[in-house]
Order: sequence, then structure tokens, then C-alpha cells
Amino acid sequence: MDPSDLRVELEGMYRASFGWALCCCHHQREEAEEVLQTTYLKVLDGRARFDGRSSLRTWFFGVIRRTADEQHRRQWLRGQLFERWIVCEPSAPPPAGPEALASAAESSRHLLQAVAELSKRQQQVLHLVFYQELTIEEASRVMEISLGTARTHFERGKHRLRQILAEREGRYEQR
Amino acid sequence: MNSDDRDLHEAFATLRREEEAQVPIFSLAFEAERNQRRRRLPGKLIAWSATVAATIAIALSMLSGSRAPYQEHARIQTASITTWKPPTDFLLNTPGRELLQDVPAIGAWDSAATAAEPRAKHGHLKKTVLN
Repeated sequence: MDPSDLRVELEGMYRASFGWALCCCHHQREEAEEVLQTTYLKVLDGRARFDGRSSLRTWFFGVIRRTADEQHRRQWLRGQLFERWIVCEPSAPPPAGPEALASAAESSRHLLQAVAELSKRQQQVLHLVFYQELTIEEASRVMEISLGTARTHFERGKHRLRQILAEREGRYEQR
Repeated sequence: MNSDDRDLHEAFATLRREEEAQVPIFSLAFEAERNQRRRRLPGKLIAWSATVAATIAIALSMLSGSRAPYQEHARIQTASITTWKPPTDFLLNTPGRELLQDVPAIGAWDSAATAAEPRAKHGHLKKTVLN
């Protein structure tokens, strides 16, 4: 694909890409920006090439997901190697970024908090289907899992999310 | 996704609208990445050059290190061959060998020829006539 065409295409899905990067980075805004920039670098360098086997969006989302995973692994390793002995504090990331929670409206804040309680796969498949409006099949391609597995995560995730939201709503009404 | 999922769909759509309002401008993110790439390029180049230089230095040191003992060994061997003598060397010490080893000087030829005269050398042998 021509670089100028690619730029236009990437620009077209920039907002969606940023949303997906946020989801992959537990709604840590700075981390999401870094992941997205690294992904652009991979595409510009040719380290990630679009071979046309899937849609550009599916492929690009897959690259973002892998980049985020790489970054998390690197951070985890860094934490294991250095912070463990130097800082002596556990470096577990918060479920949802404080900035995201602070800036989100009440309903969105409840949703973010509820989603954060789901497993990573469940979070991702729900985001791809409901937020990005992809099909479950496309979501399975982005996540590099089988369609059956994606369906299972989707159904279980939906069920669990509804449960959590209902519990939170009940608690809210009791107050 | 079926019609029962409308509630979740709506909730996520609201979240998307809120998040999209805070997304940084694309050109800024893209250009930042391009600049970062430009900044990284000299660093990469330096790293590659250093790696290549280190590899060449290691290869050269290994080559010179392996050649030096070989040269020393060859020198010792050459020396031993020039000084070595076979145990049967004495068999070559035949009479008159010294004549073959020296180059005769011009003018000294006569005395040498005289010296080699059988008559002069074996002058004490005379025929005795038995009467």
C-alpha cells in the first residue's frame, strides 16, 4: 500500500485505534499513546506489513494489541528485575486509569469499573464488539483466537458484566 | 450481537463518545512518531557501527592470536631442521671429502696437484730388486 494512502487510512481509524489502545492498556492514557505511537512506528518501518488477508482495521488492531502486550511484558520484566529489589513494591497496574475515571461521566465510570473486573479476553472481546462494532469473527481475528473461544468469552463476559452492573446499581440504590 | 444487547451497546457507545472527545490530534501523534523515528535513526546507526567495529576487532584479534603461535612453532621447527643431523651422517665422511668442500684457489692448484702426486705421496715405496 502506498504510504500516503496508508496515512489516510490510518487517519480515518485514528479515534477507533486510540479507543482500542486504551482498552489494551487498562485505560492508562499515556501508555495508550505510547503503544499507538510504537504501532505507527512499526507500520512506517515496515516491521508490521499489511498483507491483505484481513481488513486493514482488523490487521491494525491486531498490531496494536500485540504492541500493548509487548509493552506490558517489558514493564513486567523491568518490574521483576529492578523494582523488586530497589523499590520493593508490587507493580500491579490499577484496573482503570484514574484520569479516565475522573473525566468519564457517571454512567461511563460505572461501566469502566465494571469492565475492569472482567478477564482481559472478556474485556477485549466486549470492547471490539460493542465499542468498535466489529463482528465476533473479526474480534477473534484481532485477538488471534478461534471463533468458538471468542464467542465463549463474549457470552461469559456479557453475563458477568450485567451481573456486576446490576450489583453496583443495587448498591447505589440502597444508599 | 442481538437486540437484548442494546443496553450494553448504548453504554459502550456513550463511553466511546466521551473518549473520542479527548483523543489527541492525529497529525500530532503521527508527526511525533515520525520525529521519534528520525531521532532513533542515528542512534541505530551508531549501534550498528559499534557492533560491526566490535565484530571486526574481535575477528582480527582472534586471527592474530591464532597466527602468532603458529609462526613461533614454524620458527622452532625450521631451526631444528637446520641444526639436526642424521645419525648416519658419518658415512658421508669419505677420504678426500675436504677437497670437495673447499673451492680451490687459483694459483694454489700446482701445490695441490703436487700434493696429490702418487709418486710424491708414496715415495717411500720403491721397487726392490731381489738379486
